[in-house]
Amino acid sequence: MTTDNPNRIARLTLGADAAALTAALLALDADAEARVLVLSGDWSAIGASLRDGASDDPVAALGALRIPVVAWVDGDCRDEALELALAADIRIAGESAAFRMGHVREGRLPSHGGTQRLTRAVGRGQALRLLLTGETLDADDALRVGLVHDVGDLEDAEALAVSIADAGPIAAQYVKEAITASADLPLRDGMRLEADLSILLHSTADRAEGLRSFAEKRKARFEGR
Amino acid sequence: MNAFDTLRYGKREGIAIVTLCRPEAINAFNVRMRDELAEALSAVRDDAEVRGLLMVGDGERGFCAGADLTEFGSAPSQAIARYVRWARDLWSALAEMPKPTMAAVHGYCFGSGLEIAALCDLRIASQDAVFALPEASLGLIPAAGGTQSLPRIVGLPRAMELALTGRRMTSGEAVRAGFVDWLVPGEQLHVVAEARLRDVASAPAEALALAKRAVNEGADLTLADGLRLERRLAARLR
Repeated sequence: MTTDNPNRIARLTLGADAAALTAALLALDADAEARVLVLSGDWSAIGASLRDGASDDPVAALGALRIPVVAWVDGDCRDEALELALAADIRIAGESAAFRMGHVREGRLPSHGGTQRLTRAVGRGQALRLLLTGETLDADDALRVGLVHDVGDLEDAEALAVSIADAGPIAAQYVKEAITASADLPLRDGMRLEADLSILLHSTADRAEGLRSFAEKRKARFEGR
Repeated sequence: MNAFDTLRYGKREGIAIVTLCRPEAINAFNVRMRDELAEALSAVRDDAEVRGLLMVGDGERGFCAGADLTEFGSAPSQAIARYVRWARDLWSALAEMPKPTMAAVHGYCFGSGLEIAALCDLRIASQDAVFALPEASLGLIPAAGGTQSLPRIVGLPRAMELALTGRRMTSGEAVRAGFVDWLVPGEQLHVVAEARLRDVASAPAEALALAKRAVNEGADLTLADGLRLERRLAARLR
């Protein structure tokens, strides 16, 4: 794991060790400097490691991360690897990405949130189709059904991370929290959460700095407090 | 009804037209506009002659450029800010309006502007419309329901990306994303919008109101409860 301090972008490169990934994610959640995580690497290898039943659950750790997560997915991203990618907030697919939720065809069931996060990401119709048929989607198909946000290279994912890192870090975390909750809350309760988070931000120095920077027509310097 | 400073309120053949009217500030949403919009929404709801609400923005530059940040920081305390937010809950009043609502969007539609459009039932836009949620880049979050309404329209991933990056979404992308229902040439925007909405509002008013309730309330229920709600509401029309 590397954290790029000027931009406060954390980067994790996936390998074949699910336990190491969990440890890195837990450490990252305690890192007050990091503002956004870019996740890339060998999705096929991490998927295999997850399938082997590592006791630590990096998918849960990723889903619980407070900072926004951008996943750049290239190559084979199937089953457990796809479940991991679904726990990210924004997915960018490389040209040679291939997505497949193949558990059911093998007589298994997703157990890292695949049935829940896939449905929330692409809707019930597409989720059932992908789960029941086990068909493979290329990058363009994945874009069309809304499984990924865009097709591009790692630099595109990095550019997106930079624009997120430029935002107020507490505000970005609250945006993530409120939008994630929108899938689970009635509209009225969701609006209540949004209003409470918005008013809680009144207590932050970052909000005052954001308003000052706007008045002075300059870029804000956020400190995460 | 035209005693407003920041809005124009007009009625034409059953359609109420609320025009955000601070063109010198691209109709930036301020405290005065909040209070006046709350009043206008009550009038729309209570006026039996009004069958639908059309929201438009005055001036060349846009529908609404967002909240007027020059007034931010004026709340005496967080407790008072929270009280004021719910004293007159105009965002729920717009979301729960028992008549069809439509936003006709041109030019800048940022922040609160996007959120107002997202709380309407239908959105029509001109080619030059451009959408963004810039709040997080200012250390803020959307606070007119945007974190809840936008994902319900365009889905969780795209809502997350727009709100986290603050990037601009063109009118073409907004159509592809399902945010904008119709795209029309700018000079026809308000005429086409009014005609479309009048056509929608020509359906029996109670059926429209109940259909809105069934869809909006049903979205927050389990399927079994939603089906029960639908049957109960449908029985009222027999």
